[in-house]
Parts: sequence; C-alpha cells; structure tokens
Amino acid sequence: MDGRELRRDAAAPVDADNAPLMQLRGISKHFGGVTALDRIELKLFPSEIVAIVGDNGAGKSTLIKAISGNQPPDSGTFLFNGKLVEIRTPQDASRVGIETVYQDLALCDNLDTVQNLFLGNEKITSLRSGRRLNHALMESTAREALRDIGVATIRSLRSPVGRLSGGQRQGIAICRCILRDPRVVLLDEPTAALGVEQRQGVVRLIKRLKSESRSVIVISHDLHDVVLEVADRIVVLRLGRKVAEFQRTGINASDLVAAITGVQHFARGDVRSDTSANRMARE
Amino acid sequence: MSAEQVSGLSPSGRAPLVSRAAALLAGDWRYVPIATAIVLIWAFFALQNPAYLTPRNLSNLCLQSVVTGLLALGLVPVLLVGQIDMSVAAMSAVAATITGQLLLVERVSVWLAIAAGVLFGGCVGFLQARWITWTGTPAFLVTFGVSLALAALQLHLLPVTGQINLYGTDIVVLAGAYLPAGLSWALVIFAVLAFAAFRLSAFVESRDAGLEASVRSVVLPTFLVMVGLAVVVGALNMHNGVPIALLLFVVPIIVLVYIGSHTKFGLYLYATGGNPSAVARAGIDVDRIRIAAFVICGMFAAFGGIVGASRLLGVSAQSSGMGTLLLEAITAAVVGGTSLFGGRGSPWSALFGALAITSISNGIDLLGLGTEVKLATQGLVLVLATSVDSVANKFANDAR
Amino acid sequence: MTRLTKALAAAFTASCMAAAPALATDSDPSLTGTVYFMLPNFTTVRFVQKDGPDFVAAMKKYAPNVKVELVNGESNPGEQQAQAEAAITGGAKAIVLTAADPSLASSILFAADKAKVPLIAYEHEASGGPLTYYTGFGALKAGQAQGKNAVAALSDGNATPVARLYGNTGDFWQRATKQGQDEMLDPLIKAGKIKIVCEDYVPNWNPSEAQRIIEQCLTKTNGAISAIVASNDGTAEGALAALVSQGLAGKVKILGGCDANVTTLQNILLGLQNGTVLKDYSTLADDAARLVVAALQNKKPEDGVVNGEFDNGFAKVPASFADVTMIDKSNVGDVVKAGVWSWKDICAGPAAKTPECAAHASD
Ligand SMILES: Nc1ncnc2c1ncn2[C@@H]1O[C@H](COP(=O)(O)OP(=O)(O)O)[C@@H](O)[C@H]1O
Ligand SMILES: [Mg+2]
Repeated sequence: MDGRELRRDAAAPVDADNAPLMQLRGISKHFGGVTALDRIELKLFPSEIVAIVGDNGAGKSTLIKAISGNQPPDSGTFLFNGKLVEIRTPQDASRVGIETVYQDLALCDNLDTVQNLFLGNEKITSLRSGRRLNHALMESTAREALRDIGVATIRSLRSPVGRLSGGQRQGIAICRCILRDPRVVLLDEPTAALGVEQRQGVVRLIKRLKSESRSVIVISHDLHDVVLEVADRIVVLRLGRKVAEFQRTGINASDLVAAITGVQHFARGDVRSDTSANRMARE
Repeated sequence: MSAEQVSGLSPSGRAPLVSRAAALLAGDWRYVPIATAIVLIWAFFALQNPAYLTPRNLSNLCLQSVVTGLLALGLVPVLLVGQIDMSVAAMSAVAATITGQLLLVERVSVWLAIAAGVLFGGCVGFLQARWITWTGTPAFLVTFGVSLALAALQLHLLPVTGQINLYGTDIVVLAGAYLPAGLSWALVIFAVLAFAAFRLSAFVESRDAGLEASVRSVVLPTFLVMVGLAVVVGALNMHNGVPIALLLFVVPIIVLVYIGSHTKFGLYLYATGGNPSAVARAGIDVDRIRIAAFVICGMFAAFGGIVGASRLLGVSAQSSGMGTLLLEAITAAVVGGTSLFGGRGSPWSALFGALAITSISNGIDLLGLGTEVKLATQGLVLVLATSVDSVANKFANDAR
Repeated sequence: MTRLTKALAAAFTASCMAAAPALATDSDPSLTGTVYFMLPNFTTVRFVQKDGPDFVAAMKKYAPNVKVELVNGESNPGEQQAQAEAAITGGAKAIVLTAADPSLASSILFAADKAKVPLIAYEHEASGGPLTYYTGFGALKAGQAQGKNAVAALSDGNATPVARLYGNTGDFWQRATKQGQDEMLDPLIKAGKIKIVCEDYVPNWNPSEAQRIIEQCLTKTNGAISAIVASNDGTAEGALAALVSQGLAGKVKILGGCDANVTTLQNILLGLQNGTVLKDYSTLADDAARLVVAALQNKKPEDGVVNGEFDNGFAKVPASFADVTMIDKSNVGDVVKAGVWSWKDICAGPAAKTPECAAHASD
C-alpha cells in the first residue's frame, strides 16, 4: 500500500432493501506492463445510474469493455442478481441483460436506421412466408421505439445512418440497446462528439432509461451537464484504481476534479465539508 | 406515452442540394447513372454504324457479356464485405479445364462435370478465405498468389495437346442454345406475375404493419418490369431468341438480389463491409460471412469459366482466364456501382457493368478500331469507374 | 555495324579457320557444363511441352555430358532478365533464349555478350542487341503458306467477302505472317476477286477475342462473309466458335491457320477448317542443339544448318530457318509422321468418326 492512497467509505446503497443487481469483484486487467484495471470493486443497484469519471487512460473504457464482454478481464468475477456469471463475449453480456452503447457507436454507416437497430437481432417472417427478413414489422417497431425515446426526427428510416447527425446517431445507438430490453445499459462517452443541445437530448435519454427501471453505467468527462445531472453515484478511477466513490447529493464539480486529478485543494474548506457519505479519508 | 420531441436530436437545418442528390443516387435512383451511360454508349456506336442497334447485335451483346458478368457477379459479395478476389479469372480457367477433362476423358455426364467444376471453385474460395481470415493477410495478396497457383494447376490439368475441344459435346448447350419464342414469352409472363405478387405482398405487409404504403409501389415498378422485359425479349426473338446463357446469368442475379435484401446473411454481407467490428459486437461471426462471400465468388467464377468454355467450344491456356478478363470483371462490378470499399452495391451491378463495358468493346470490334483503342478505352473506363467510386466513398464518409 | 559481338566474331573466326569439315553434330562427350534454355511463358504450351523436352533430347544426342537447364520467364521480361543474369553468374556455357517479350530482350543479349556466353535466339525475335545465331520457323514462309492456302480457295471468286484476323499487334510473328499473306492476297484484292470486309488484330492471339471480332464482323455484314483468313489456329478456333453460334459452321471457309493444334486438326478432318501450317518443333530443337554444340566447340555449324540471315535491328546474324508444311485434310498424317501428335490424340470426339480416323483406328 502506498501511503497516499485515497480511500472511500463504502457508499450506502440507494435502496438498502435491495440487493445489488450487478456486482464486480476484484476486476483486474493488464496490458503488458500497464495495469489498466486494478482490483476494481463495483456494485450497481436496480434503477441506479452510476457515472464513472477519471482522467484519460484511467481505465474507464477498459472497465466498460470488461463488463460488456469485449475484453474479458485477467481476473475478477461478476455477480448478477447474486449469482456468479461468466462474461467473456458480448453475447454473454447480452444474455444476462447487459447492453452497451459504444464510444464509436458501433453503427454500420452504410446500413439504414432500421437495419442498424435490429442488427444481429432481426425479426423474420413466418415459415409460411419464407422466413424472410420482416422489413415491415422491423420498420414499424423501429418507428415506435424511436418515437418513444424522442428521436422522431429522422427523415427517412431507410437512408444510410452515415448521413445522419451525431445526435441522431447517438439516439439510434441507444435505441438499439433499448430494443433488446436490457437490465443494464453501459454508455461510453455518449456526449463526447455532440453539441450542447444534443447533449441535453442524451441526458434526457439516460434519465428515461432509469425511469424504465434499467440500471445505467455511464462514462463521461462532462461533469456539469452529464455526471452531476444524472448520476446517483459517481465512481472515480485513477490509473486503473477506484480512488473514490460519491453519492451525488452534496457534491460539486471541484470535489470531482480533485478526486480525478488527485490534487487536494484545501483552500476551499467545502471540499472537506462533510456529509458523511462524501467524507474523504486520508491515510 | 407522449412523444417528447428532443430538439437536440434533430438534424441541423435543411440538407444541402448535393447531399440530397447523393441520397437519391444511393437510393431509388442508383441505376440512373449507369443506365444513362449505357444509353449514351449505344447512341454513340449506333450513330457510327447502324448495325450496332440491331437484334442480331443485341444478341451478341448478351452473349458477350455473360462470362465477364458471371465473374463480376461472384465478385459482388466479396466486394460487399470489403475484400477482393484476384483469382477469379484463373479460377474460371481451371474450372473450365476440370469440367472439360471430366467430360472428355472421364466421360461423366455434363451436369456432373459442371457441378464438379463449380464445386472446385467453391472449395478454393473456401480455402483462400479461411487462410485470409485466419492469418489476417490482405485478400489482395493471397488471392493473387492463388491465381498464380491456379494458372500452374491449369497447365498441369490440360492434356498434352494443351487444348480441350468441346465441339460436338453436350456442354455447348450452355452458351449455344436459345429459348423457343413461346417459352420465352411464357417466362416473361411468369416473371411479371411473380414480381407483381412479390411487390403486392410487401405492400400488404407494410400496410398491416401500419406503415404508409401506396398501391403505386406495386403498379408502377411492375409496369416498368413488364415493358422492359417485353422489349428485350421481343428484340432477342427477332434474331435467334433469348440465349440460355442470358438466363444462366440473370437468374442467379435475381437469387442473389433476393438473398441480399431479404435474408440475414445478405444483410450481414452489407453490414460486414460497413463496419466489421460493429457486426462482430452484434454477435455475428464476421469470418463466416467473409468466407461465405469467397465461396460464392469461387463458384460463380468457376461457372463463368465453364460457360466461357462452352461459348468458345474449348479450353486452352491461351483462351481461358487470360488477358484482361480479371480487370474486366472487376471493372464491371465497379462500373455497375459496387464499391471497392465495401458495403455498397448490388448484384444488378454485375449486369449493368458487364453490359456497359461489353457494349464498348462490342462497338470497338464492330468498327474495327484495333487493339490500341480497345486497351486504351478499357484502361480509361477502369480508372474512371474506380475514381467515381472513390469520390462517392469519400463523399459518403464526409456527409456527416 | 562497327562492333559485332565478340562471340559472333569468335564464331566467324572459327568458320574461317575451319579447315576440317565441321562434324560438330556427332556426339561429342568432351563438352561439359550447363546450357540454359530460357522459355518465354507457360501459356504457349508448345514451349513447355514440345520445344523444351525436344531440345533436351537433342542435346543428349549431340553432347551427352552437357547439362540442360530449362527456365521459364512466365511471360515476364523482368523475371526473364533476372533468370538470365542468374544463368550467366552460374557459369552458363551457352544460352538459348525464347524472349518473353521480343522487344525487351536487349539487356539479356548485352549481358551474355559481355560475359562471352554464346546466345542463340530461338523462335521469338530478340531485338536490339548482339546475337550468336537465330533459329526459328520462317514466319514469312508461314504467312506465304497461309496466303497460298487462301488463294487456292478464293482465286475464282468475284468480290468474295473475306474477313482477316491478324495476330497480336506489333509482334514479330504477326508482322511477318501478315507480310507473307499480303504477298499472296494483294493480287486477288487488286483483281477484285476478293474484298476484305473486316480485318483486325487479335490481342495476344486470344481465341475469345477472335471470336468476338468475327461475331462483330458478322453483325456488320449481316452474316455475309464467305471466308476468314486466320493467322494461327487459336484465332481460327475462336472464329469457328463465332460461326457455330450463328449456325454458319462449314458454310464460311476458314483459311490459313498455323501451329497444327489438335483441335484445329480435328476441325480440318470435320471439314470446318481448310488447313493449317505445321511447324515441326523437333526440327527446330534439333537445329538449336546443333548451333549450341557448334558454339561450344567454337566451330562453324555443319553445312546446311545455317540457311539464311536474320536481322534483329542490331546486326544481321547467321540464321537457321526451319521449313513449314501446309497441312490439309489429305495430309494430316504428316503431322503424325513428324511426331507432333499421334492419331490417338487427333481422333477424339466427333473427329473420331471421320474416314481418316477410321483408317487409323488401330494406330
Ligand atoms: N488494447 C490495449 N492495449 C494496450 N494498452 C491498452 C489497451 N487498451 C487500453 N490500454 C491502456 O490501458 C489504460 C486505460 O485505458 P482506457 O481504459 O482506454 O482509459 P480511459 O478510457 O479511461 O481513457 C491506458 O494506459 C491505455 O493505454
Ligand atoms: Mg475511453
């Protein structure tokens, strides 16, 4: 233990009656000499939004990739509803109800909105009508789903998504995720490439996921507009370690910045001004 | 549930004219440029020599475009997944040799001999794709190497005489026979009815799913298909009739078009060319899609070679798979609108592309313009088509 | 020419001092080392299947202790140049070269000359550099034979419409055969007995291209042609395929031809093609072996081997032209006698039922 490690009190569960929906235990990942994740512990409760923040290279994306099955960790375990689950591929993750909105959105630019929404999850017609792709059903379902989440502005659902705006594409990526009715949604930097207005759209979508009793893990650099706006709980990573964990209530951006950078600024007392949950202890 | 309108997710302003035009060209109008090009080519040569637009020459055009077209058709799925197969011409030669030898030396039945040739194409396609996906070596290099090996294999398989003479064998039916007029008209009626039925069912499905659909989407295309088929079949029947070879080309196109737009596999071909890692993350085995594309390609290349041998009444190292066939096949696919960059195109591009470039060489031969003009034009068309493809691709990427 | 090659000079010197009649082509076991036969490609099968083995056999006869290496330039002049350099470095005693591209062989010629390795150009012209000998079939003779064949069939016509297929634009064999044909056909054209309605070059002598050219000729003339004069058998076969698909096989005469391809011989027996020019490859290989032995012995070749001169644009060199024979239905047997093909090779498919084949069924 190096002496200057920051420790957090275990955050109180949002709803103490509920057991965590998902729990990560001792997740570690190394790339050669680099320790991208170092024994990460994380709980996620039903209908909870957890934001993960940290500097570039802190290990946020690596953590998401571990949970989504894209880059299985070297060691550590996942518990889902208290049961041990194996997540080695995106399909494993899907099976337990985890869907991911990737930082690059993972859209096929040459395919249209409907095709992207159902990729790998297509609806086909009955045996009698030849088990064809059910274009009509997929299109009407897509239309409805997009309207539901408030992305009703796409002019043609049948033109390639490469021509759509960043916000629309983000909307499609999130909608695709919702169509699979996940318990947990992972979002990696969902607002990074968006303008201010479009960011608000995404924030609203994230809140909506919560209102549909889904849990969300969101990575974001956007402390004001995203993290402090939607998160119930905020986890800070630094150099692969979880260095702090906050309840959103009573915390502000400078607390977060301090935790992210590891530089304490006691000049303003309010950083240490304690709500019990957010007290930062030093060893 | 109230539809909350998220202004943040709406497109910013009106799409500029260029991008709307691009959208049209990528959608319903996508065959307009190539069709226009073909009409211009025809008009040009017809003005030079009226014999160009006679039923006799249309019949020639169909037959002359079939071999290149079949190779191009095989290339379409491979191009769609963002790969390339440089071995198609050599493959066509080896398959023709295998089929010819089986027919003449082993005396197996025509259909068995053809099946063996096509199967060989599929197997080689499988092996090279397996190698490409397993090692990650660029397809360009692997298939180019394979094409050299195939050329050597052909020399090994040819008899000491260096030639296989197919004159008088049953296989000449493939490229040498024509449909009786009555049968061709019956086929036209069947095709129009089938097309209308298919459109109608799509219309009914859309309506039942609550999408806006109009009967015009059934009537208008059916009418166009009917007129188009009637003109083509009528013209061909004024000469020898509809060549069987044309059916052997067009029917597979229709099958592949169906696969491309109505099956998961077809959709995955396009998706793989668009963003393979996204496809993989959607739980689809990308390698299997790629391998399947190469298998299809190998089979069509083989079949094209066999039809070519049937047309030329023989196989030799000099006649099959040589010269500009490979470039012609690639050019045809690209001219027809299938992108070298993956994810964009259609099996129809093989038809339109092969027709376009054959229309040119047919005209040049008709006017007796000589080798220089032929080579220069071929080169020019290739450069032009791939440049247009590159620009279109750049535009598609910049559109966002 | 101010500077003839040293090897050439040596050859001439040898010829001048040859007091005793050169019996160069008796078996000479004293000769050793390696001779390279550089073949042009794999696509013209005769080189791999006939010329190569024939040359090896001939060398075994005249110089049993000389090793013969066959290398193939794979249609690639650059590749062939590298092979030549390797051969010279490897201590080649002589090189027999069939250039992959006749017009791009001069660097090989100069390299051999510099290393004093005798170089014999074989069949393909190798231009723009020093040569020791040339041996080949007279392309001009072949063209004249083709022309004569056409004249015999067309001389009593009146404006008979004729299509002509030339070879690959610009290559030596194409130019020479066309010249030979012209000598024979021009008088008929002038006299108005025949009228050339289509003529075109066939890229790479590719039969498929020939097929399309004839299809287009038939379109242009609305099927009204009486004869096609082809410059080799492959293009004649392509022309025949065009006729077959238009139902004109046997109705339009196919004249000329060259190489005595098996398919063509079958077509001749079936009456679909008039004739072909036979080049007996073993004669050529034999001539080449005699020239090589003479060069290795530093002597003048045996009398009769050198029978002319060949100008490759750099120098006029002593040449050995092999004779060609016109083959038609009546003398297909000559092809068998020359050892090119057997009756069994020829009598396959529909041709097996012809009287000629029936007569040789037991061969
Ligand atoms: N595939 C990889 N190979 C090697 N190192 C990697 C790889 N992915 C991530 N890393 C390293 O792991 C660390 C964490 O990266 P990442 O999770 O992408 O950070 P973040 O998303 O927080 O910016 C960085 O040091 C990064 O360089
Ligand atoms: Mg990241």
